[in-house]
Amino acid sequence: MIRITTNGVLRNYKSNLLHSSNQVNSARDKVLTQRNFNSFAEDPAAATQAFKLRRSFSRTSDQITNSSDLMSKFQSAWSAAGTAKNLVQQAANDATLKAVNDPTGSGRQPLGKVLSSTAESIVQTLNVQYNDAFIFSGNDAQTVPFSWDNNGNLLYRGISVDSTTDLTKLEQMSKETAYVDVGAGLTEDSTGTLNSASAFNSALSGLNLLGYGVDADGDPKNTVSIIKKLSDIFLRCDADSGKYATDKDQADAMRLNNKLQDSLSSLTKNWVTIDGQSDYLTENKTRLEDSADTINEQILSIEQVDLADAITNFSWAQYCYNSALKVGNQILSQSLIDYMN
Amino acid sequence: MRGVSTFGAFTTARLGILAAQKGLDVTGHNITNINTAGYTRQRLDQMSLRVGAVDRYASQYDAIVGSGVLCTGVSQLRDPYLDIRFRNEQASVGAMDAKLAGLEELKTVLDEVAKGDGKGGIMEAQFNDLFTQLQNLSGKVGQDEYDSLVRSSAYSLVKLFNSYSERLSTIQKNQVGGFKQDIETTNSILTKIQDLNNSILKSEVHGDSALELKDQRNLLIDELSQYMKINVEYERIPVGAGQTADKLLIHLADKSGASIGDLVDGNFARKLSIHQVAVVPATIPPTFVDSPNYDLDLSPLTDSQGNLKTGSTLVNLGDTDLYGSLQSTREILTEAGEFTPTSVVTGADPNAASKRGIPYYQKTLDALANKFATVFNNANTGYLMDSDGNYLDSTTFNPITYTDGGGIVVNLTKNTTLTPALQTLLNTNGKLLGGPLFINNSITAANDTGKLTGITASNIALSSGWSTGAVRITNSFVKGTNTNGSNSTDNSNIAHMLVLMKSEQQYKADDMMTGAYNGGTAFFKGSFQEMLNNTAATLANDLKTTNTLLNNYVASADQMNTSRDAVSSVDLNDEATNMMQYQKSYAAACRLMTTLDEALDKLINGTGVVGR
Repeated sequence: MIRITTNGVLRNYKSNLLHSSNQVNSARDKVLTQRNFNSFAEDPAAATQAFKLRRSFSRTSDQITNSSDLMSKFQSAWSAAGTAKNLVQQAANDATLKAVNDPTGSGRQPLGKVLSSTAESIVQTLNVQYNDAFIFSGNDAQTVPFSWDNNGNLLYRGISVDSTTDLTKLEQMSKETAYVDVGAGLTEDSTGTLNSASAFNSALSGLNLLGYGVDADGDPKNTVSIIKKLSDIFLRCDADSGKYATDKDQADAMRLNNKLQDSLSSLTKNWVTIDGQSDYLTENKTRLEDSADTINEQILSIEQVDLADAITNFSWAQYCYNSALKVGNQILSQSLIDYMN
Repeated sequence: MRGVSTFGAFTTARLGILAAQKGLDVTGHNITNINTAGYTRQRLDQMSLRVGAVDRYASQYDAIVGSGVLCTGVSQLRDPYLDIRFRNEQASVGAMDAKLAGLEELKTVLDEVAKGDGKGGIMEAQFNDLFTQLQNLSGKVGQDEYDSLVRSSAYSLVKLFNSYSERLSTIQKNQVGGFKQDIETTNSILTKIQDLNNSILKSEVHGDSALELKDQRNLLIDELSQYMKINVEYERIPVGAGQTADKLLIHLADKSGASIGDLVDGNFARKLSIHQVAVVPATIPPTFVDSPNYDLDLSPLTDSQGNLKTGSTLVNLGDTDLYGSLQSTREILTEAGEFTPTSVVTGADPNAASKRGIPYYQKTLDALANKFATVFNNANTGYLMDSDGNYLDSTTFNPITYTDGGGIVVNLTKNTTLTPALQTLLNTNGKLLGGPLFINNSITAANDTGKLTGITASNIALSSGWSTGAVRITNSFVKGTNTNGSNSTDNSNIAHMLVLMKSEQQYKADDMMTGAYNGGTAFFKGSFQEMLNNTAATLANDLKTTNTLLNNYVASADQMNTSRDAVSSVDLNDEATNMMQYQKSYAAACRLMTTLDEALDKLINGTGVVGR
């Protein structure tokens, strides 16, 4: 039988009281901080998981910001392209109505002026900026996309859109990319090339919208160039009779008018594509926001205490501590000496 | 006829009173020392006295009666086996306690849980911020203010690296200070034990059992056992005139408990000191500094006058000879985990690669800073190429070509393995874009390119090029269609940097030092933030394990101490019982005396009075 001594009892009591006091302190900390753990060592697995989730949350927040920015950019692009489409539509209608189908031809020369100014308007519309960057300049958005040279040729970033010699350059420019992370993975292949499906291509090229190069007939494929060429033909018409300057002009006008219609449908298709991309970005943003909410909930479920549980634990720890104090008072006062007289 | 003595019984009563008095004295001594640290309860040793001689003629009718009680001494109630067990546990308590103290200090720097705005950590959150700023820049290339925001974020990050490194160095200094203080305390304990050994021997020679001095010595041995594992032995030595006394021997023990050398031998004791090594390059006269391994030397055994014990020599303790708080602090100061040199693992300590102290955490932080700087410097520096990845000539902007092993002229591309010759070709003909973002600011060089080696957490800084704006984040290395550089908002390289921020990197000890055990194998694979997290998690797991072990050892030591208390400690109930018992026996002895007095009074004054 072990001999239970006064000092032994006191040592054990002190040790247990300290333990009990620590328990109260820890339970109180949980209630006050409302956190399940306040150091990595308390729960390394949960802390690691929480950091991972916080990282995901930060990434997702970035992707939401990117999506929002791109949404605004693509909505501006859609709006500008829509305006351009309407201008082209109007020009095409006017050209068909007054220049091709007009038996008197009296409106041809004025139409030439109108088309010339329409071409200017389209160019100005598509030179729109968003956030100090030109929307339709591909991935060279600090450079204005469309301009005119001294001969009235439309240039895209300094290169004639109707050029046959710089066709390779135009093709390159039309394929430019500027990938932005919108939560599709953002990965590279083994050679360090970005996987195009893992990011969103934010580059919009005016070349793709309006077309470039020349077709088999030697006519420009670019909508504005077609309008400009039609304008030149109409301006050459007789001011009074509206008669074409040459038969070739007339043939050209007929052909170009048809091509303008084709170009309009291509522009409309591109406009719809931009709308689709804008919709995708909107949906993507909603998805990312849902994802952020879920991640946030997961973070809270790991880090935050269940307050009811924490308070119950604290109350229990407090109760145990009070009991330990009560017991201590009784332990310390009792010995045979107290009963001697 | 024996034992016939009229007044003999008075002596018996007197001895009884004396014994009861002594008993009360011992009880009083015990009660008053109930709160004295290390006090061992004492007991009055008594024996029954019988004074007698052999009669010439023995008679079977003789009744031989003793003559009372004798107090033969006062002894301590102590169990040496419990002392041994307690001290063994104390070594483990000391070892874990010191380790925990070191790890707790490291925790103040590296544990980012519940720290920072939004409680998402500090450096961890800064990495997130840098990622965010790069994301912002990727959508707004060409707008300098966004480049500046990336730079500000990177500046904060490198300052955090500097600050963490500085704080780890401060912890190292504090621990060295603590270690030296512990060595002094240990030496002071050894000196006190040595002095007490002298005093106890002198007392014992003079017939005093020196119980209080032994208590003090036991207390010091208990204290010593926290600093290092020891084995305690007592040897009886003759002190002349047929008398013997105890000689205390304390042996230094390794973790397994095997004695590896003497520490105290009676009035001789050794002293600890940090091994000194000469500085390189050598000076005249030579300058000595603490060994970087903080290994300890044990001086030869000397007595308190400084006389050497014959044959005793200085001992240089091996890397794993000690166990206890001194060794744990040493390990906190020196262990580098995966960065341990092969020579240590194959020599002094086979387990060194799995022991992690301050140097390990310093080197992992350095490895992270170095990897981060290297990866981003490489990502921001490169040569102009076309969209197919062919490097372009800086003047003609045509692809740079070379003749391959098969004699075919091919383009030099970003996927070509660059031999030194091809690297020279590229350096000469290619158009270099960008520049380093981070440098080692402890190197004195004319430009940033001379400061790219040996980047660590303590010396990482923004390059002067980036700081002044001469270098910016390179948005792309792909030549634009109508320009001699890249297009103004081509963000391909920023997207690459974003991928790098979250892609897996390999961390090898070889990247930071040569000769590390398994240094060529990655000790961790993951992103920058995962590496940071892994470092904190490694520390946290070590902390958790050490804390659990410490609690176990403390509980075990407490139990041992309680067991020691069961034998050695004063108990008020015991003493109260003794008090009553001795008081009663005192009263009884007094009563014996008055009884005798009355009996003799009858004999002397009441007999032979017939006829008076």
